[in-house]
Amino acid sequence: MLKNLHENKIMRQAPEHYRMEGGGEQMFSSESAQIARKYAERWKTSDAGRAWKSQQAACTSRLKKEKEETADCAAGNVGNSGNTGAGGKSAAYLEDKAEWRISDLDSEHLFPVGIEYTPPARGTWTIAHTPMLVPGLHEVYVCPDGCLRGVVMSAEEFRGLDRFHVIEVREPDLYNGTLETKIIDGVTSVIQQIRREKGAFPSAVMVTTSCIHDLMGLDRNMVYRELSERFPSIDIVQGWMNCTMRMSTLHYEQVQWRQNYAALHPREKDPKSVNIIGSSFPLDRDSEIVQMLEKSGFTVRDLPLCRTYEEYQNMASSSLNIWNWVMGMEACRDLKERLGQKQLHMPYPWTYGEIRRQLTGLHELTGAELPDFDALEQKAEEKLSQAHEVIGDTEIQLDGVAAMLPFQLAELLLRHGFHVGKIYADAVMPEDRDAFSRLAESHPDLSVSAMINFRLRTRKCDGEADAEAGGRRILAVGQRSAYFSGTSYFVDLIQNNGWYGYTGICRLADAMIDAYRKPKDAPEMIQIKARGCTA
Amino acid sequence: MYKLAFYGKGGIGKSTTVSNIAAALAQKGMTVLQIGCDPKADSTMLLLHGQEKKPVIELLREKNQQTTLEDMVTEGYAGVLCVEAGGPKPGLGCAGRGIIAALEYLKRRKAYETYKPDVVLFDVLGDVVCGGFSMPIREGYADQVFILTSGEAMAIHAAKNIALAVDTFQERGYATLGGVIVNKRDVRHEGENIRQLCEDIHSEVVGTLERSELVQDADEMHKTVIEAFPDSPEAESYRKLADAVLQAADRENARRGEL
Repeated sequence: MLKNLHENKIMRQAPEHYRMEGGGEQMFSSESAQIARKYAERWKTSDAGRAWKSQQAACTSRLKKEKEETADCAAGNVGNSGNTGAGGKSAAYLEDKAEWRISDLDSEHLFPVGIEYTPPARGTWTIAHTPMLVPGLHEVYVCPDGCLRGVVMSAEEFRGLDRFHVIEVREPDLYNGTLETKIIDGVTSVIQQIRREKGAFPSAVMVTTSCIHDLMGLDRNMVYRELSERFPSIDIVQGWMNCTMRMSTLHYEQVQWRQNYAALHPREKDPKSVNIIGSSFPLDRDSEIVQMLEKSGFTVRDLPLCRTYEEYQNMASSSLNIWNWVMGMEACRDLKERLGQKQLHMPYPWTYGEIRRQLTGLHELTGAELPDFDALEQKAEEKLSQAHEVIGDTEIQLDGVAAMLPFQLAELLLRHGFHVGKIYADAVMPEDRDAFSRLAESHPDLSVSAMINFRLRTRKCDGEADAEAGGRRILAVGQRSAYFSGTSYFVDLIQNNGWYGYTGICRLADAMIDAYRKPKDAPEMIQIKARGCTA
Repeated sequence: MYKLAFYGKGGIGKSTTVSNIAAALAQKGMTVLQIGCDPKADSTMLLLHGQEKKPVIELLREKNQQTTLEDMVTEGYAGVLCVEAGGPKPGLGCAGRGIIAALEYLKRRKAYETYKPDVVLFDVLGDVVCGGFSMPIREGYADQVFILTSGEAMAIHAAKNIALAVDTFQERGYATLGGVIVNKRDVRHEGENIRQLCEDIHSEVVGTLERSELVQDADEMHKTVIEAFPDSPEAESYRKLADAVLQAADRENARRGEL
């Protein structure tokens, strides 16, 4: 019956040139800042703007009252003022700002959640990019036209349209009940087309559905079972692009990373094989993790380094999975459950003590020989010293997209005499909370700014403000901090770039010297989506 | 575990029948979970003595992901576990989406694994008007569908539509048709109409309930007949029907196994 419902016309190829014309002003130019200001002014006089202003006035009044109560409480005038929250900091949250002194913040709730702004610092990979790391995998996105636009543009940007296909969902699919059959028949057409063009079936096909499928209660089991039965030699993998329904407490990127390994089939375990899981960039082959393991006879596998589908499948034979980036957590849980692979969490550290602790943990689990910590530490010290000699007292700003643990990184730099002025972060990872607390004590005036708060859309960037005041140089570590500071002197660091441990500190120190000496065309560089992604 | 769905024209007596079957099976020592899949959220009223049961959709609206199994499941007469899926206010929202959300949430919260019911009864709104109302007959939910009908033309018409929907989904491995339950209205040609229906949909009658004032009396007491009039012939009819439904499910499962 399903076969009778098949219609070829439901599948259409993504257009070859699908680029947005015009628009998309960059905040870097002074002209765009003027545009932003103009819109802000216009908004202030609108009904919404006036309503917001009145809300702010009420908020300020509450804040004032709260402060008075807190003062009264401190002076012993009130028995229990209540509702002062963490260490009396809750009053600060009533005044909704995008930037605070670190000592005014609570590490568990940095900024209120609300309207978000995504800056055009786009080097991180998305759900359209990371599956491309699986050699030979083809992506099929099934969604309405409006949703397709974003992923089609992504695929076109990394020249990946020959591995990227779309099936459009239309309103009649809802009232005709053809949501399921359209996916089955559409994916069948895609696979047949690939076979005609390439002469062979693809190794794997990831079929990604969208919000409308979950809203309508797509019979997922039936669809994927039917596809697997039609194409038994192809690994059919489920994908989700659901921006409107959070079906679990997992981040969508965590789910995506789990699915990136979902095609791995059980294999006999090799006790001398280890996987690195959950990062778009390969773990530095000179890092202590890789060096320790390889010197002790281990094979270290990493998805970004897999060149063939067989190499990818070999990851199933590893006995241990290491995850350095938080997005790998769910994948490791799933692989442990499905393939019986052990897991070890080694979040990219920036303190010597933490590096030693993590590597010792790896040694205890695998028996891999430990490196000479003192020698490595000495080398890192020398590199940091060299960097400080060059950079001196130049203000450094860094962000939580560049480094998973930005507060540890800030602490490392401050302890070595650098002038860290601002950290951009929307949340503090549990592993970074101790460093956060220490910084709040030792450097209470250190600025912490949100990365996605809507106020950042119209905020004057630090570089722009400084240029008006005569100019000063800011060295940014990360694309977000480069964008918000407006500097051209920046280290293009995304998700640690795979830099780990002492070696990672050395690489960063070298990169900071290089960035300080050679300005970059930041707007041009950071607007490129998914740095390094190719099909 | 028996997983059975009951469909039929609105007002045909589904909730009364399903609640009496639930009570009869519970009295035999079985753990029974009854899930009302109707926006009116009144399926389990007789088992809860008229007490209002907060539906899953309303709980999700109030507490979102914090909603617990204890919030959703209430123990009724004879220990029957009662759940109401609920839905939006009349005229607003999407009732089908409500059923989907409620059933998915019950599954995610591992209701079946936690309570380990011997029997799950889905009491579903009259017609399979959209995908949401076919949810209870999907893989992982009910295994058999029983259609309640009388000999009235509209009830027969609804029964045929339901049978068609069940047939449409056969290729997807959904629930199969377990049989027809007749709730007699004593209309003209009732027996003949039912026989014709069974012939048309390739099914058979698994039980017949005679028209009785006693059932309405029990309804007014907010009780099942099994509880209110345990020694009555009507209560005995429901007990027989409960047994017949399970036997029909066994037969259907055996047939499926052979296939």
